[in-house]
Amino acid sequence: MVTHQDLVHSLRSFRENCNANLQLKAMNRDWNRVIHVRVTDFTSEHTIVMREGHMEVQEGAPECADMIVSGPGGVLVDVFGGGVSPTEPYLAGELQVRGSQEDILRLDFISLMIWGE
Amino acid sequence: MKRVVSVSLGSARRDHRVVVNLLGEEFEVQRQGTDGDLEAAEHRIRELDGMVDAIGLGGIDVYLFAGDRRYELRDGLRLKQAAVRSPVVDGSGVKRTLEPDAVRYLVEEAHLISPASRVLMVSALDRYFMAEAFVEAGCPTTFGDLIFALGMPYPIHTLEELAQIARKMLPELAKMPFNMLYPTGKEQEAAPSERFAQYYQEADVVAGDFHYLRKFLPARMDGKLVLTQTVTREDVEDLRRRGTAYLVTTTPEMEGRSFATNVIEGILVALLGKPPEDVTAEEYRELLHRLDFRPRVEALNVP
Repeated sequence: MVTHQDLVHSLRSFRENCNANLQLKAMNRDWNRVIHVRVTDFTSEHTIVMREGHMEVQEGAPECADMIVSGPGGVLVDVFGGGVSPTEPYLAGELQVRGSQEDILRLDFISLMIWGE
Repeated sequence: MKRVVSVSLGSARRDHRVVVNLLGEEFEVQRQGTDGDLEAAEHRIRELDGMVDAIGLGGIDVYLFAGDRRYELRDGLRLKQAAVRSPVVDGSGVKRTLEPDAVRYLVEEAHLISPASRVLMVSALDRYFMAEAFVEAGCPTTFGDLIFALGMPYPIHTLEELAQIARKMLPELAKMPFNMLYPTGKEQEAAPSERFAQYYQEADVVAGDFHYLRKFLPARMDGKLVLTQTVTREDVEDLRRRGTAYLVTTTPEMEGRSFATNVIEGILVALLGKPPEDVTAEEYRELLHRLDFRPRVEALNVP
């Protein structure tokens, strides 16, 4: 059973890998978004802020979000920690992402650039 | 009479039918659009299976290439596997010969492209061999795959970087619904946006898939050469109005339309009478030569 703290670690790892990747930084220089990450099987909410290619992660829900990523804690820990690619859980409906199609693809892209191959 | 039907995820407004004589054989060639409806396309392919000599897949790819790897798109593969008797082709077989040969022709014979020509390839993953040909010709080339498929202002300038990104992306992105990656159905008719016009303005040659190319087509294209395919008469007039100097289509015109590579590959496979996976690039090249299929160059705004 995963915990709130496990997701905090996963998101930190996601952030560190994203910020360390200069190619990804250049790719996302125009993508300024607030993403609400919400666990559906226990209470745990987080905010990812993307600004000019730099990612910040905070505990708690944002006041206003461009995207909402939700799912069971285990799925979110795996997706942000690189244990699984987001594509399969997204297509299976385990991972729900609300936002524009372009933003959904962009978040998938970031994850694949960090954890892909 | 041989029959080749291209089942397309594109708009049904672009449907057409022609009868042509090729190497002494009558061919009925049809394009049937399903307005982005994957289920309808799969159903139509099942209906046509065994009734026609070849089925082309339009508006969707089965295979994408980068570096030494081939990637299979899940939705494309699903359509390909819907037929078991008639061969199903997506055009990737002839793209290996037809498109790099077109670039070489424009550089070496027509002299419309030089090593100094700056090229924007709107998408290279679906035309990797064309992309290689531009690089081999020495042209500074921008690969717009991330710009046009994902809306990301990140031009790729080397085939190596393209292959590196593809290795990370494509095994997973290839599983996504195709309509998330490529304009299908009515989306193909949306008015172009100028969001990424700067990349066109920096180029002398704009090449690649016409629907991607049209997506961000700027109001003015003065002096530019467009290398594409599957354009209608309306598309040609639109490019002319925008000041495009030359339009080159890699596939021949039949009754005012340049057909897609999947149609051309369907015709070649029907003529050869063998499964597409057994046809070599050399066989395609030899047959294209016999058919005298060569790029069609149209001067739209040339003094």
